[in-house]
Amino acid sequence: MHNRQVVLSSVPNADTARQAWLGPTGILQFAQPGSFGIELSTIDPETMRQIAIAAHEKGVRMIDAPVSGGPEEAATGQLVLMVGGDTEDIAEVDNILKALSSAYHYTGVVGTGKTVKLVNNMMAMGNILVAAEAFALGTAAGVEPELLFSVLSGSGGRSHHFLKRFPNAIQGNFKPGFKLELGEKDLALAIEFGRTMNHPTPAASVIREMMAMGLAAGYRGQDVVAMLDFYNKMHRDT
Amino acid sequence: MKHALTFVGIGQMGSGMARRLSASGFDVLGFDISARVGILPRQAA
Repeated sequence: MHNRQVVLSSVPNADTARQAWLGPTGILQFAQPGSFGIELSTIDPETMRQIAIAAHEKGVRMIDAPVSGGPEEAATGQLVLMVGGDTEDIAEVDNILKALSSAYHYTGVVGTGKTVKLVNNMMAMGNILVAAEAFALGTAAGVEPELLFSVLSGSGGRSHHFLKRFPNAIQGNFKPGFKLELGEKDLALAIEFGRTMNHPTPAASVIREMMAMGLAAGYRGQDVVAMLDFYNKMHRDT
Repeated sequence: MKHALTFVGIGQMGSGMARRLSASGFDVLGFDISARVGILPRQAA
């Protein structure tokens, strides 16, 4: 690792990010002064800032760059990146950020990338859960799923994730994608972030609890859109 | 200038990104994380 100039990390949660960067055998123990770090995970802004402070002490220039998009976009360089950090540092790794993304957006200092990402995921998870609840009502009332999808996909209730995930969901395909437990985790991060800001996030709390019920009902490991199946199976004809 | 890259966390998202960077001409070394033993070398993406 001693001859490498840029270290990127993409890990599932803040504890793993902390361990990867700050742990006793972590990246900062081995990184050379003057090298760059690019942290791509969806974690809380405070953990990102702590990693950046520790990196700075070692002479490592840290960039906060969470991503929007799934495995397919990751593999084809079509992610959207939210990039926080020193603008000169970001310019130095511009070719890396461009190789990963169809677009990258500057969000401000280190930590702001994670903030924008958490806000995005709050909205995305909310859109999926509300769509699942509403869609299940429509089909329970007798509208054919394919027809309902077709009409809604051109109507005001649609969202990015509705268009992307529901065609699979109505075929009973819940292969991830984006796992339900990651959606629940991101909402927990957003709620906790709101708490540190004294900013209420009541809808996120309800949506997180619904996803926790989905996980408890056995949908762990499946795509977040499996919440549609959870709602469908809750329904009992009277 | 092309950088030499180390990619930590080559799971579902990370492996795709590491492969993409490799295909874009970067020299990429992949690592994965184990909670017990820190950073483990794994097959480069």
